Amino acid sequence: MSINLKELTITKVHQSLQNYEYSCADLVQAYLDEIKKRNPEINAYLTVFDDAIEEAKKVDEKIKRGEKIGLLEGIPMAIKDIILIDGKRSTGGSKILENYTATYDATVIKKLKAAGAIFLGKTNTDEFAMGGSTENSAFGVTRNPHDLERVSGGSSGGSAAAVSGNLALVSLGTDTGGSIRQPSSFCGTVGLKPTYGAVSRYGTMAMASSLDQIGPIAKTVEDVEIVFNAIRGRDEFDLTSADGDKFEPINSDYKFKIGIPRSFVSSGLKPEVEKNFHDTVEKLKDMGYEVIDIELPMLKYALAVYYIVVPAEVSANMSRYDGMRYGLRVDGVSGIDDYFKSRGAGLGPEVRRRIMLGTYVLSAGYYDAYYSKATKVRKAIREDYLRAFKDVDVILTPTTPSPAFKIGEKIDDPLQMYLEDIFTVPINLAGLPALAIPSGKTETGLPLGIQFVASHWREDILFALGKKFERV
Amino acid sequence: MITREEVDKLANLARLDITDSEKDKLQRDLESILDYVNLLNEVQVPDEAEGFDTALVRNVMRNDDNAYESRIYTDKLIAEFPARSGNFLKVKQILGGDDNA
Repeated sequence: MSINLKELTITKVHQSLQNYEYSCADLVQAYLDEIKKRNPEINAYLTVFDDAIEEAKKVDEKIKRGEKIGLLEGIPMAIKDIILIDGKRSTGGSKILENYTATYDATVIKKLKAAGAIFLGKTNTDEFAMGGSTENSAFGVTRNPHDLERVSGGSSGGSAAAVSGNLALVSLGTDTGGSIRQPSSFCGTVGLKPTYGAVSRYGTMAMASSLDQIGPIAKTVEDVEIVFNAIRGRDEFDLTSADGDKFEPINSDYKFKIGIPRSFVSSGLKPEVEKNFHDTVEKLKDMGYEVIDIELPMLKYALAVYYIVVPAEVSANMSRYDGMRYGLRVDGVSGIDDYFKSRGAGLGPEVRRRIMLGTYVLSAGYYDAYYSKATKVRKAIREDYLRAFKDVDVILTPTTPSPAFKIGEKIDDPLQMYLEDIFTVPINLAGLPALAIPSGKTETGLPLGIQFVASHWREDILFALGKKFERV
Repeated sequence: MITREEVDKLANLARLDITDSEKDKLQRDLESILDYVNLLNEVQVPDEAEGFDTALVRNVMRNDDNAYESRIYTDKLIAEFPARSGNFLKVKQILGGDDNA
């Protein structure tokens, strides 16, 4: 029987499996067939698992035995290649780990395995999650399913393209400066960057440890919420994780007060984004929400803070890739030369750029001027948001200043690429949760997206508002 | 603003083997990025903002117990060694070889 992959949601699949409309093996096979057909041109997947059908059959056996299955049981998922799955190849999008096999499961994977999800494979990413287009992957770019001449975004380009291209029902990405939200915007999917600490980072290759978060990408807000609830929670293996503050369940009909940092969104937007954003605001007002202008004066410094703090943390996190205990080793003339040769050969240009920049801002003589200053301004940015959330429940901006750009368009000018992150980056600096959600299309059919931001631990507000918004 | 000597020094500190032509491009890229982040010079932040906001970041400790069973990961980890000698990781001589360390 032919399953319409375009129309699926987690709840629909769950019901279909329980009603014997199709088997889990049939469902997984349908995705694998689609991957075989379309992955060569899209390049969303770096590795497709050959045991997915076997895992699917286990779910079918359970159903046949009359056992109840959980909501995520049998759900086909794609996982970004910086998240480790025991026994599976995990490249991080890098030559230095091209043939590396993970030796343990990330906590999020352990949780999803316990929930019965089926992993179809590992998706393409900018190398070690550094980039906004997946052009920095050592294994080729991921093309946008809506327009193959354009990028899927990054760094979770593969994960967003997989969901958008019907090559997985839901996927996991990571977000340090927008890497879930920006590709979601470019590909027309929903993506959540959770509150910093909501999801354990154990088993995920670290990029900037004080900003990184793992999050779900799916077609609907409800699907994102289901996966988030499965992966969240305090983990003994990641002591930056926490269960978070508890709140009274909110009434989904509550009229949230929405704030727009007016001066921040007033310039730099491509015309279609500007028009779509204006239309979105009108739509929200029609839905009965109060939309007011707010000021976040420190926001204009967020990108500068980000490009000091992140390379600094990156330079420390990348030092483990030294060709010694795992990954690519290239022989030099001496022990220390092995480091130079292995890292030189295995790490790509963007990674090297950030390592160099990070080494610079952390070095003696420059530390106070750059890193120390950036940390102070970071605190001030966070305080701007905390102040704003006294007056509003949600902050709204476009997710990106433009729709998906053409492959190759920005790759030669790193600063131009960095400027694309202007709306997503401040969120990571402040540790806030943010939901990227489709808001329309350009005249040529390219997806456009907006971003709802809530205060710490208020993913519930994002889901409530998001579900109302997507219905319109 | 960033000299070629500084680029060489950074590459050395970061243990990165970089070609001369790539160093040229890196020098230009780093200049352009540092130029942009110098925007922070115009920000005045009060001195008490020094250091981490302890409401945001604090050390979370755990007891050093509940170690996993010995040797359960050993084989998997050894399988990933680029070079091995039995169960040992094989590397080049560390001391007494290159004085440039």
